[in-house]
Amino acid sequence: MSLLAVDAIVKSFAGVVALDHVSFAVEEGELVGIMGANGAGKTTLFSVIAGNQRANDGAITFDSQRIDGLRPDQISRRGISRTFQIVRPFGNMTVLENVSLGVLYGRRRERSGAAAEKKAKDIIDRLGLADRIGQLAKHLTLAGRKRLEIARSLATEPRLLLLDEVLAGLTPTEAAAATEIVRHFHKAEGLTILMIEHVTRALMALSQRIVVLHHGQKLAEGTPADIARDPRTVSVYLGTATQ
Amino acid sequence: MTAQDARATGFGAAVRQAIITAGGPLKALPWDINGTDRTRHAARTAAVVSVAALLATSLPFLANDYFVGFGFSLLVWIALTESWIVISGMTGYISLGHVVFVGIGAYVAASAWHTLPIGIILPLAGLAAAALASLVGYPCLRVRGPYFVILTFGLSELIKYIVINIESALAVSGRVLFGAPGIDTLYLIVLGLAWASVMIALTVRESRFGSGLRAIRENEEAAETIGIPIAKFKAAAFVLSSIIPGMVGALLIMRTTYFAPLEAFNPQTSVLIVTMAVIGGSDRPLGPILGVVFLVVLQELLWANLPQLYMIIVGILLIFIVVWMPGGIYGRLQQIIATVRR
Repeated sequence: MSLLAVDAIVKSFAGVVALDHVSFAVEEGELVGIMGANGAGKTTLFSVIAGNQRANDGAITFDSQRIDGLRPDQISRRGISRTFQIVRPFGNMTVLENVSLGVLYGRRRERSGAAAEKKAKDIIDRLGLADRIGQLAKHLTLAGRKRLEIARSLATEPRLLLLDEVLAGLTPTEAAAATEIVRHFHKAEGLTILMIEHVTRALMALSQRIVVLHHGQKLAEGTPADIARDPRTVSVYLGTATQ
Repeated sequence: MTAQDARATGFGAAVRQAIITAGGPLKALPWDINGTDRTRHAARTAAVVSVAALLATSLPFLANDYFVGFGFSLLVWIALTESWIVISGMTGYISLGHVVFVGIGAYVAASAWHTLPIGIILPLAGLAAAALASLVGYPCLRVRGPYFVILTFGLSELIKYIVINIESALAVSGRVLFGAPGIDTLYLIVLGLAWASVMIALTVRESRFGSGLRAIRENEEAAETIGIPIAKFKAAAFVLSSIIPGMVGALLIMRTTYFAPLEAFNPQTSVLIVTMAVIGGSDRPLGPILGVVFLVVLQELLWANLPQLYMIIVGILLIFIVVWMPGGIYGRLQQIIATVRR
């Protein structure tokens, strides 16, 4: 049984179909990438899985239980955590407070503030934000806020982490560091990850499998090597070759 | 700029910003960084407030009725503003209709006055306010920013006119309360309520619940996504912020010994609550106290000399604070302390 099974999800906004019967599965311990042009429905897919938006049709099963129709906080407590493409830090709170909140309200539902801060400090250390711990989140650089976004998500102790373009907008050095962080949590800690990424090189290097979305439909699915060779993907990204 | 920021424009946003600016931690103050220190600081504040409240119980034995009356109105505003902070300071949902809870409490007390003892009337008034808050909380707290501000204002006016209509249908025009307790007794009760409201605000702010509320203020969607049950939390904060105002309403009509809906539900009360909180600044309990003391003292001075100018001056002050001193008195003090320590 897959950890996450998305089955024929449909989501439309006032007649515009954002997701059109999309189905795929994520196995425990896998890192699956999601590719697609702007407007392909990638972020909508995350919103539907995390409960921020409700699908019009289809089913989402997590750990053998239906989660479609649940509220975001309920889904978070079952172990799915997402980051936002446009980061959403709690700006007037410190880095420590931001991450502690994840521990307090996530899957662990920590009751003690002191224990939450201890756990949060550990995560902050591992994400390289230790020297920013007392700073207000709004005063961080974009790279810092992206790390904070990941840290806060990890603090909820997810079984499945949804990363939405955590590399976008970073300098090559920052992106390389962020890639290493993702790789570490996947390889060393066995975290199951589903990630959207525009930086195709990073996605190809990290993912075991890739799902390609195009105009709300699943266009292709396979290993990075398959996807790179797949004529449909190539045509979407590069245009069709003329004879 | 997030979508939430874009929605929260206008008055609500300005007030929200004023509270956030002073409520947000300042690096120079050590208790903001370490959780244990923060708890210790809160405990110290609680101790100081409790000692001050204990000392204040002696006022009726030391001072004449004028000063006890002045103390009464000071404490009334502290109780109201500290209660308001629990919903509006913590979550950023600015309630401009908090007088509705005062009015309901007053109405319940007036209706029950000649049948029930005061020891039952007071909790009943608080309960009635809480019941109203839980009834309207869920639907109201679904809208954000200026819409919530307008909704709460409109709701309190609506309830006011419902009460006026009920009263006229019953052919009652104003209710007189005979045998209400004297100012000394009322002062001591409201002192208890003011103390309780500060304790509640302090406890909520430092609690797990309170940090969840502040996360809602910062970014509601992110808060929900990390597991905070936002609808439940907002409704709980709203109910919690309504109870003491209900009881204060009951005390207020015992003080005036007369219930008139137009007075009990006067929207000016709601405006003054917001003004005091903004002038004081901060979602920390000390902020509202500073704002209340400042405005009530000003009111006493002006009422003696220039009564017609009071609301005009209050309006000018509010504009001045929002534009030039967004952290309020508390925020400015914090800055000064931080500079001195450096």
